[in-house]
Amino acid sequence: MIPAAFDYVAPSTVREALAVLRSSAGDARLLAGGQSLIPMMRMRLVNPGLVVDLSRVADLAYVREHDGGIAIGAMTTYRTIETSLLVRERFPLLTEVASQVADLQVRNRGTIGGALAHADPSADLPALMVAADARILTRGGGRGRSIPATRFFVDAFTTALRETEIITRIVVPAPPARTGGSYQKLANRASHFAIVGVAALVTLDAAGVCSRVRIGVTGAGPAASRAQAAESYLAGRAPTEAALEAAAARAGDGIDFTDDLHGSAAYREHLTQRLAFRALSAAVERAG
Amino acid sequence: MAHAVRLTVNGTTHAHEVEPRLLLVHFLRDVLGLTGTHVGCDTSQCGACTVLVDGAAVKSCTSFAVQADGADIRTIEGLATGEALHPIQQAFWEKHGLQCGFCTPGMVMTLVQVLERNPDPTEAEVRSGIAGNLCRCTGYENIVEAARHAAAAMRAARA
Amino acid sequence: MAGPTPFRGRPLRRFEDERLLRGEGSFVDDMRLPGMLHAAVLRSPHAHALVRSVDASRARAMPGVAAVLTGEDTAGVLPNIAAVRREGMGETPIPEHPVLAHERVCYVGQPVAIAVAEDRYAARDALDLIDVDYEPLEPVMDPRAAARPDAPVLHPGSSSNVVMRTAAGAGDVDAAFAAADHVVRASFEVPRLAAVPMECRATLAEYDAGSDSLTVWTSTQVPHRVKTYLASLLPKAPGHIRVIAPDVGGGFGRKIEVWPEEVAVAYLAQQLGRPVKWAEDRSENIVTGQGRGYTADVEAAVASDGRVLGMRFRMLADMGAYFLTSTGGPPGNAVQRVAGPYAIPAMDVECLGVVTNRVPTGPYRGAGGPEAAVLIERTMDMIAAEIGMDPVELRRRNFIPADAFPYTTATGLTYDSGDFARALDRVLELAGYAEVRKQQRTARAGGPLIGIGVATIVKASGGKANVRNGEARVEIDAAGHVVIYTDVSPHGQGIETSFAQIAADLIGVPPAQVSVRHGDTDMLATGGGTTSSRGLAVGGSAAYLALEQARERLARAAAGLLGCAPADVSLADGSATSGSSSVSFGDVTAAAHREDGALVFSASYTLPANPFAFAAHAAVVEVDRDTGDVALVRFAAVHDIGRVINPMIVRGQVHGGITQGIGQALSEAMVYDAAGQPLTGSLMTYGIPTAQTMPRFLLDQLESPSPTNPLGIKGIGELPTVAAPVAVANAVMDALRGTTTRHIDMPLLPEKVWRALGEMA
Repeated sequence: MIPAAFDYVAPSTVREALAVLRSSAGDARLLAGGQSLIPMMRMRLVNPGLVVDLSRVADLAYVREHDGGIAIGAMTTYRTIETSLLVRERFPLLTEVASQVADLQVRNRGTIGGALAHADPSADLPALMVAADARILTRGGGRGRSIPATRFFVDAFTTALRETEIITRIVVPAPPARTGGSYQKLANRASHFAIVGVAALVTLDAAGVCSRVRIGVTGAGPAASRAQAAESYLAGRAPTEAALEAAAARAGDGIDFTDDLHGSAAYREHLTQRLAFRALSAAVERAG
Repeated sequence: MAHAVRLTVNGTTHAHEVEPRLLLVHFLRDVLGLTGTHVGCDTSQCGACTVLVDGAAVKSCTSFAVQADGADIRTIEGLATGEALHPIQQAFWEKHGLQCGFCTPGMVMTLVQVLERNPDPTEAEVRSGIAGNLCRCTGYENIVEAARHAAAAMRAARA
Repeated sequence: MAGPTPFRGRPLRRFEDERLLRGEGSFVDDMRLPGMLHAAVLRSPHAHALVRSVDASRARAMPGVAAVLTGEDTAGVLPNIAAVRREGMGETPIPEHPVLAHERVCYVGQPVAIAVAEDRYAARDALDLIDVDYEPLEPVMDPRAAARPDAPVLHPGSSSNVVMRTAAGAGDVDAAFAAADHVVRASFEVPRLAAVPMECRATLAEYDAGSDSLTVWTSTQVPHRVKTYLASLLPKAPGHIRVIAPDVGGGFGRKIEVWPEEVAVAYLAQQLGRPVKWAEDRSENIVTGQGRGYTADVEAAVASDGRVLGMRFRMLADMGAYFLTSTGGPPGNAVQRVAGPYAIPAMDVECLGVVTNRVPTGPYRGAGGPEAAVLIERTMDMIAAEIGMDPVELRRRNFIPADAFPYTTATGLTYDSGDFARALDRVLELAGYAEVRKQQRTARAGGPLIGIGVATIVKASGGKANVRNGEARVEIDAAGHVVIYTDVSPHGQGIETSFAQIAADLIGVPPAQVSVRHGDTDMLATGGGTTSSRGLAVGGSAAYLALEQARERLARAAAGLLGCAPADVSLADGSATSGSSSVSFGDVTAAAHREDGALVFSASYTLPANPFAFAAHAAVVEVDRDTGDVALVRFAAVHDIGRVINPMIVRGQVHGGITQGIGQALSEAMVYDAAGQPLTGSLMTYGIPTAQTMPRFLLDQLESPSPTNPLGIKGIGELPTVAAPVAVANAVMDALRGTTTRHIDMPLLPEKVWRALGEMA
């Protein structure tokens, strides 16, 4: 499998990259880690006239402290995130999720910005991004935007990004004290993508009541989304098994379940509920 | 439009003009004649094409040669030191970690990174480390054995 | 008198490995010849369509393109690839595969045109410039529907989609059912699988006009077959064709073939006068390299004590749209192998071969065996459930007893030797059968469901008809270097090492002094290649016979040097010994050379009957109640494979064979939609096992030597793949015994298991 011919440019600044995008009249694709884009180009499912390689852009690969949380440069690889001590300390669930993505070689190369922009409906990371109240910072078209993850994933392989916009940074706020998190997925046996994946973050107050609940779901529908009905059911309640079950039963509310070779809509709905229960239970345990 | 790339492969610097779409694996195989790195799939699943790019295991079929401009690349051909096989190669031989041998170069190169970062991996850690390398002959058991055997030999050599 | 320790039975490190480990292997796509062109294949996107026109003019005009070959160019020039006639094909016309499609395409992936260009990138680009006008037709996809007498016929001019009928059986089956206390009925589907050798297909051809010689390097298991077919298709005198299988990166049966691409590439090299290379992509490999594809209805007549009195099998095999050379093979195996290891007195078995709009099937590791094993071994478990008997006990009651060999089954197979009960007992011990049964009784509510399943199967080695003929030549130089030429064409089986071990025991040569040469049609006149687990049983036996001649000659030479009778000479460990005197192996070969000028020993061997190996597998699984996910927690296997030459290599074959079987059980299947589009056409969607999902294997073996061949060998290559899938399936169904679901077809994907869980009794 061999991609069609294209022109290639490797700008050294975001400004330069944006200028190229603006002048390419929609015929350009940004190349980050390339772990999804290159296979699609090899299959000739995507045939851009111009590839804009972001790997030479200065200062897009980092993990930094940010307001007690973390800021991650768009070109940071899964592997860097997986092995970052700062991430492990501030947001261990991100370490856990990053380490479950694909395989070592793909994680060495694949980037957080590339993954979010690709918006594969079965990718792991988006579930956590929406659950963690992450914000996706972009440049292009004026002063740049800070897009909440919950509004970023629009549809399968479709995001809120404009054609002339580049993700520069992902900001993940630190969860409150006494927050536990868990990600539960059932992986496809061929692609290892999530048939369904559920990320849960639960914060307990001094009385042991769930003060804050965040649930992100991937794989179930066309785009990663928050399970708000389940969240609001559990918030303010003690995390008894019955409460967790009742919340999990609402985890699929509002999702337009995908029905395909890898799972029927009914199965995905069931998985969403069961994996939500497991993720919530484990999160509560860890919030301890 | 051709692009100039300059990169080091197994210690030798090469400068070439390449088409942007030239995959790194085809650069290694067809341009440099380093055919030890194999192509086993087209969707980044099988890992037969794995090489080290600046020390990190990378699927060279999911990478353009232009992206590797300036990089230091190591392929299976650059692993042994003259007559002496690398401990991972040696362990594959001793533990029967290969049958047809087609996946072997990629498998070995991935394990170079796995063992460099984790000198004493558990069986589960080895298995997860090579999750991106498919083998249809061995059932993986002897590969896992070989990896752990190599890890022990490498630890002993450092001690 | 205690002889020297034989090399047979030693885990000798492989002679094959070092260059492969250094990246110095030579697979077809690694080869480069001066002036070489690259080919790319345009394939049908339709399952069934008329080809109104193929316009390659834009592609031919593209810079760098040397030629584009279409069906119009090859029609009337290159004949169709003739199917090998097999038992069961009868008088029915067999649809033969055209080299390139002409006027009609009959499956997604069928070659329509080939572009040849200066590099592989240009060849691929040229495909986008070939304009094909298709008129889609209704495809024939469901084999059951296609087999009905009123079904629309796929091939115009044919009277039926049923093009092949094989049958086996003996005994009074009707009487068995009349006498039965229980009748158990079940229907099965064994889906198509992709073989997925890590090296896809690849062919390089070079033509030298001066000597009119064509050399073809191809990734094949059967170089002699490729040569024979090229000779008749091109056509060309066989003496001017040389086919070489260099390093081959796995085959698993789907390289036992003469592929249209091999023919086209050889033809183009000859036409263009330049070497032409084609290397397949994985996506092409998955949509073209398939086996299995069976549906079946099974009935068993059972006595109340568990004895199976009689069985009926009605099978349908999905042959695909055409017959390639090995497409017709597996059904004949399947109808006989359903007998399993059991003494079932009456059997009535039929398999109809049906054409559909899919790629032709062919042998895939086991070749009819795994299909048959699913039918008989799942049925045995269903019988056990029906009559309330432990499935292990049911098997024991029906086993052919150890003192009954040779034993001829009702399906006409004669088993040479075995001790099935002993192997089964051992595998139960390894798997902790009693312990798992106890665990099941005390399992906590809500925890994972535990299941244990066994499978006991018999597998022939050596193949049928001329596959059982082997050829070998041994050449020994004055310095004592031994070269064994074999017709076996290996790709990972370690033949270079095990043949050296056989030589070491027979003539005393140090194994490192033995070279084993293979995979080149110029070496030997004929050759069966590597198929049907024939490597050691047939090829090894042929080498053995040639080596015996060498031993006789060397013993005579040594006797001359030692001043004794040839019968008193012992050849071992690099020397010839008589009493207390000895001379080196090199001295002996030098002496024989002085007398004869050359030491060449040729042998042909025909395996008189198939050896039958036996496998008992036991799988322990945990089923996740929430998701239906199956985790394999333990896998034990015992194989009785006769004498073992290299136990390390045997274990490797077992690991790999079991793993492929587990893939069949848990994740692999070629899925097509109603329009005939493959939905699992890449490794993103077709899931083969990874290191992460495989357990460690608990193994043991028995050695009941086979009386059929001088080495006492029974083949190991396919045996584990026959038993493993159904052992896993039986374990999962055991875990689901509390549900009303009696059977789930493989692969046992989580959703299917979850649906069964929803039907708790």
